[in-house]
Amino acid sequence: MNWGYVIASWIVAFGALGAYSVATVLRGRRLSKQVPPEKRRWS
Amino acid sequence: MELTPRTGPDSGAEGEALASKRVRSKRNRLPALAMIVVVLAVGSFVVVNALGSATTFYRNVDEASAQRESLGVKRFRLQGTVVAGSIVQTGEGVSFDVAYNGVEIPVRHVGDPPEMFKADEAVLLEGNFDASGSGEFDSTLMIIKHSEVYKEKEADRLQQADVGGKMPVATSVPGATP
Amino acid sequence: MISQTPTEVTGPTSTSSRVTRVLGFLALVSLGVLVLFGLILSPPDASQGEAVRIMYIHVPSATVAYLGCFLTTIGSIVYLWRKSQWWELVAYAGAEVATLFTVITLVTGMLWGRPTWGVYWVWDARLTSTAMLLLLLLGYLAVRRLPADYEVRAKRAAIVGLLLVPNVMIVRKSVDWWRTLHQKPTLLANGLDSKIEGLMLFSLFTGFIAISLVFGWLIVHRFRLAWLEEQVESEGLDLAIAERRAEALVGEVAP
Repeated sequence: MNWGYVIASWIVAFGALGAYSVATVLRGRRLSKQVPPEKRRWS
Repeated sequence: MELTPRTGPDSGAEGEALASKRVRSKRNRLPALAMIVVVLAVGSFVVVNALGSATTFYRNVDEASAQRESLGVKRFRLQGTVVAGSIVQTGEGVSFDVAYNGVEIPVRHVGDPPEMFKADEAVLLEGNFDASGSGEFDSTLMIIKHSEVYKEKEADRLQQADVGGKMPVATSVPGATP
Repeated sequence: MISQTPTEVTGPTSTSSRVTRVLGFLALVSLGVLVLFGLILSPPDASQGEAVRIMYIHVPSATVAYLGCFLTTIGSIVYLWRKSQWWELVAYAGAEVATLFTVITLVTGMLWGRPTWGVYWVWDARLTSTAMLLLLLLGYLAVRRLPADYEVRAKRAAIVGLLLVPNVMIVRKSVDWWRTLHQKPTLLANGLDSKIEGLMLFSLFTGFIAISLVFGWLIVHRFRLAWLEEQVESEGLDLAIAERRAEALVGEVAP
């Protein structure tokens, strides 16, 4: 009973988190190349 | 700060890059502005809605019963607990009594009740008192009002409940590993 | 968050670091544990049945959304007070991540409401104030992105950011102040185990840990990305200033 709603909500949550994470990391990689290394102070 | 180079395209590759950046930033302004407009519009709609209905979201059975005269056939939400043994299936839906604070109101609900409708469960009913003055409440929308309390479904209760539910792990020790 | 010793001469080519890799690993492991307990090992609820499993992501998501709003308001205050870019970027990262979690809260809440209440949505005080919170967050992001000088954008956004925590308080207290369909809080009300039992409580606890780790990981990455964005932006600005100087020089030479 109601497994459909459960699975749908977990997929929405995990899907949104996954998509946002991937987009953030990829954009970070792209922008990192445009910024001189001394300004990227993490490692 | 005005940073627009006054020279035309002859200012070289850097100038062109800048010009395209300028065009892009003008175009970028539109979605952001549109977003603000939409936010303001929807925001005011939401606030009006909040003032209109959220503050007097429902009336309890005892209050509605006391205000029956003034309410007339006005639509409102009624909150109460479904009285055990009062549920009768009718052709167009279901009829039952709701109780709160020792007061009961008979309800005629049109339409299929939600899946989790059952006795001793709190419900919200959208509708109005019957025009005939019988004191019956004509409901067209039923919402189940759940409490913040969660209890594990026990194995013996599971048998008479739904098929397809998973067998619960029989433990009530917090943090226990299986 | 930011270490002083770059490992290579070229520096990192992404927003990752050892901290985020550890955080990311822990987040993935705890998400696995959450799936195990939330979907498989925990029992159905006596009244709600399987639908109770939506709680294990809905409630933690709402909590970290509030946390993001707190970061934004604190960052906004510190920015307006001391013009600290570091805190402004924390505020921005907090707002974007909070927006994501507010959307997740609303969608999972609707998917929880349909089987348990019988409706996806009602305009009660809790749901209405949460919708207002989402709009305020979207407003913050729109204002923050409206093209302008950094100081102008940051200041405008920070003023919107001040409103987030008051809105969160309204959301939190709405179930006490008004009559709502939404239930009152299960946890932190009066003692832990009175309102929720055993493995269900443990699953909810796991949800808090997993979602908090994901939140932390996202905040660090988003903060660094925001930093990179401002670097790229100000580089374009430096370029424009240099351009104008060159023009001025040309103007002086030519009569």
